[in-house]
Amino acid sequence: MARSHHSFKLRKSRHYFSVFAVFVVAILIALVIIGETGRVPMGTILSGLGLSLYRLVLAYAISLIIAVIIAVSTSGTKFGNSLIPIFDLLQNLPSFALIPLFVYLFGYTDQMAIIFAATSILWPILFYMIHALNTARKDWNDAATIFGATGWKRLWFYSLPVSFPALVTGSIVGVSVGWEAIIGVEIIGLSSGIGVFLNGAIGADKQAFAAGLGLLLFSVLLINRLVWMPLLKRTELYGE
Amino acid sequence: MANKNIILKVEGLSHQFILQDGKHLPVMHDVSFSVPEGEFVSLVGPSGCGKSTLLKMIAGLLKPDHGTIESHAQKMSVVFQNFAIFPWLNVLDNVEFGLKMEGRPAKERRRIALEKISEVGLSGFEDKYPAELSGGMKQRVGIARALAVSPDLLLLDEPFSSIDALTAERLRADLLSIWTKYKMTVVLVTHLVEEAIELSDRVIVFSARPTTVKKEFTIDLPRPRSKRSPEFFALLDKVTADIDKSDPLA
Repeated sequence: MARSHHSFKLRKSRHYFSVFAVFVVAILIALVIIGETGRVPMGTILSGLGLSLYRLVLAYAISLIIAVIIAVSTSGTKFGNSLIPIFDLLQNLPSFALIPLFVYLFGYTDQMAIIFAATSILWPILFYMIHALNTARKDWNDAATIFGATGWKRLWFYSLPVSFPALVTGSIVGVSVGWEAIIGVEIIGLSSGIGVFLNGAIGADKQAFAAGLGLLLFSVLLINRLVWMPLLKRTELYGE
Repeated sequence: MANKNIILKVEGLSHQFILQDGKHLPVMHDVSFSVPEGEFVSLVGPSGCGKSTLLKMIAGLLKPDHGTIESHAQKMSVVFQNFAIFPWLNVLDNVEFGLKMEGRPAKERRRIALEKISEVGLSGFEDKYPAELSGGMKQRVGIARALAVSPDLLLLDEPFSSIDALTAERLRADLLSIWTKYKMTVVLVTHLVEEAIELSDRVIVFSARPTTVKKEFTIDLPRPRSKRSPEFFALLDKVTADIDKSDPLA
């Protein structure tokens, strides 16, 4: 039984990998063809993509830290529960409506793009984590307390592990929102990044646009395969 | 027993829960008892009478409205009804958890954890995760984790109620031999009178909610106790007669 379950999982995993590999190879071939025939500025695309990715990673790191701090310090408390409607209201604000405010505060800068994206990525991670902490089995919480988990040890050895599946799911949703925010804000007002490149290429060079979009898709797939899938796989451990 | 040090003293404990509709539900009224060092005490009573709530208070997880709990235990540990072992840690890491929180060095933690895992009969399963274990094995991990911190007061909250009868029987025997070896003070909450008589030096019977101490029985049958002996049956009848059969949850 266990063996057949294992081989089923293996087949499933091989199947996903094959689909992914075919997709990646197809994108790479398309990019090579486009690059060869159209003299697409691959260097510009890659540096733009790298810059956008750098902004996204930084925004994600900021969101993750803030979400963890807020969730851990407020969950399970009366004060924390009273904050949830406020968080809900804030996350429902259309984030692009806040761009003028961020531009006013930071100008058309990297910091503005990163902080703007961070405010979008924050909410799914925060809500998923608060939910995970509030609905974690009461006796796990009691066990952590009884065995002396306090301060940073409680955070590291209990709160983070107990909310790990939620953090992964929240991060996947958050990063996809983050891509939108980064590319959107680049198109609106920055002078560099993949968003700026795509915005400029659509009217001038369709092949460059296709190559930019292809590379963007490729990096999203790569992140999914190399970061999120292994983390999602690890969350299977958390089932009882 | 009288000359033994008192390790736990519960005095005048009263408590009520505030329900969602704002009503007050008294669960405990003027509960008092004490436990001498090294004694195995069982708390029995009807379902829902507040035994587990009382255990949580002793463990410091819940503050009573009135009364005091005086504990002279250097270290207290709990075995939970539904095991409460962490699914993200393997057996070894679960057992090491309390020691890690105490800041013990890795080598020492490993040595103690392996020793306790062996004592509960789980050698060979160190790298297994809870999802790969049966209910009985999970509770063995829970017991090993509780023992690893070398408690002088061990609290057991219906530890055998979530596992099958046969496994529970074996675990009871194992628990008894562990207790015989370490002689720590044990407070066991159970709704099974037979289990209480089999294991304990003393059985404290609680009334239905709001609970109060109804009666205490000293069990002086020699161990290991035969559950088929006339003396055992006589005690079983005596204690059971004092349990309030009216289910407060009904």
